[in-house]
Amino acid sequence: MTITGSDEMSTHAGASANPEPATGAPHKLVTIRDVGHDYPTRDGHRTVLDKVSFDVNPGEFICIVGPSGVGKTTILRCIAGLQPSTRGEVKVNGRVLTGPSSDVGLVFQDYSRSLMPWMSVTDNVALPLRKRLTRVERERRVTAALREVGLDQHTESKPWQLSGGMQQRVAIARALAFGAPLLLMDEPFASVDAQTRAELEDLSLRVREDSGQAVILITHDIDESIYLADRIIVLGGSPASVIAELTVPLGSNRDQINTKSLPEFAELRKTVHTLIQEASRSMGQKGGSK
Amino acid sequence: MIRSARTALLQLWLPVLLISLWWFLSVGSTSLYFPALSDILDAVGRLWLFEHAVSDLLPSMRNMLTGFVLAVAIGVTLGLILGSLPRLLDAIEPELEFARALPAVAILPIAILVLGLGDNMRVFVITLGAVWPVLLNTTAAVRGIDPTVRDVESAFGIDRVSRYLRIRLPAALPQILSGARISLYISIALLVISEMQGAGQGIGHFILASQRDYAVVDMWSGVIVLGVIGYLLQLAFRAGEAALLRNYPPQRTGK
Ligand SMILES: Nc1ncnc2c1ncn2[C@@H]1O[C@H](COP(=O)(O)OP(=O)(O)O)[C@@H](O)[C@H]1O
Ligand SMILES: [Mg+2]
Repeated sequence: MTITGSDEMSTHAGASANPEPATGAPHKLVTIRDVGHDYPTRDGHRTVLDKVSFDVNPGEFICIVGPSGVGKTTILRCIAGLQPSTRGEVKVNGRVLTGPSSDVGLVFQDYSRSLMPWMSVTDNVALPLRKRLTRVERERRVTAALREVGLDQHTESKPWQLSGGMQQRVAIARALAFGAPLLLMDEPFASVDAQTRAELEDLSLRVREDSGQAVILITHDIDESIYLADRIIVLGGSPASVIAELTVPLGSNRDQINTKSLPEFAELRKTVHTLIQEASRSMGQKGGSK
Repeated sequence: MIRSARTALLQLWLPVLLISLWWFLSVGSTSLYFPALSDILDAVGRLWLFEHAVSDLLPSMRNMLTGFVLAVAIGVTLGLILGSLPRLLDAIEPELEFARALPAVAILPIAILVLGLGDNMRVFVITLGAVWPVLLNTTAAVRGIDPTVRDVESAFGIDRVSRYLRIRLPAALPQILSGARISLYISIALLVISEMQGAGQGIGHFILASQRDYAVVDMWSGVIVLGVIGYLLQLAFRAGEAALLRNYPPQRTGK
């Protein structure tokens, strides 16, 4: 299981959902240490992230929140290996990440761009598994993933024949079938209606429960972050770093109506809201003084 | 059913009108250059069913299609590679523009000198002229593939063969086909031009030879056959295009 992979010539190894047992300290699936990221600009560079550090345990559901433009997508792309961080290191399964890895599956925000319109639902989900698995094993995984997301009746449809929510289910099934122990999602439900959104939230919780995958999900919706997460990471500042880590004490059996009316839920909503408001205020000041 | 019948009527009335006009205005024509349409159609039946279809049309079509298929194959292959390597593309852009701007007809004398007057020369000239629309369209389409798709390729570690054949090629297909349609027109034009250069057979040669012999009716019959062939090729191309794009969202094929 190699974790390195370069852009053109992939060195992805066979996907495995079993994190290797670490020696010594309790096993962390992901460790992010002092990650910083600069984007080049016309006159030098702009530091977007600085000294971002946090860990993810196997099977844990993490939500990252923060004001718009703070650097949430940037940190996610660093963890995905799509964009090497300028400073610091990201370790997945104990290995330093230098490129995309078979230990990380990805769900993009914009399903209409991330799915191949000319491929059937089945072919889209199977695409990353070609050359990796035998045909039998591939079909087994694809079928299981499509059943998990409730699309087993639509296997031969083309993505553009499906609703937005169903398309995002295809993208989730694709990441699921990939079989990585870590699933990254960047605002995955931002472009679907409220009803579909609630369904997809419950779907992600169920998927995590059934597969035991850890999830890092970015959202700008505070309620969504509390509803989904075991732990919420708040990004703030300019350059951004982790300004708060909040454990969500809501147990593992959550439902849209009851969980959201718990007093702990309201309390957390207030806390996160205040943190994000402060963070955006400080970003506004920095932005204004440039 | 009714809708398609109506479309057919809408598309047919003008050609029918024009052909009728031609027919009636040319009845009993004594003009040397514009003979009666009835005579021309007689000649079409007499000459092209099937004597010259075998001796001239067949080799012409073979050369044209060989050149066209080679042009598409080369254009798509090079386009996939160039579109995937933006730095290489930037480096050779001026040469590419120069080569494209050069009309393939201008190469004809050199091609004749090097390759002689045979089929090889004709196929070469057709390929050279027809490759550009496919090449440039493929390159632009691959270069314009959404960055999210590139992210999908690398995040999921898609192997190189699948990247090119299962992702980039199909992503570029609608634009490749609109390039290929232009290439098809160019192929026909270059076929005729190349056959007018000292060929012993072929429909272009037939038209030119008839003209030199003052066999004006025969010449016109060649022109008409050429027009009909061009039209049929275009219909066939459209059918092929629709079949290839049947899995694509409708608005992409509608363009
Ligand atoms: N490719 C890029 N080049 C330059 N600047 C970028 C690039 N991508 C993002 N940025 C900038 O970095 C900051 C953080 O972006 P992003 O991570 O997308 O924020 P978020 O996802 O939290 O909204 C933004 O100010 C954005 O303008
Ligand atoms: Mg973002």
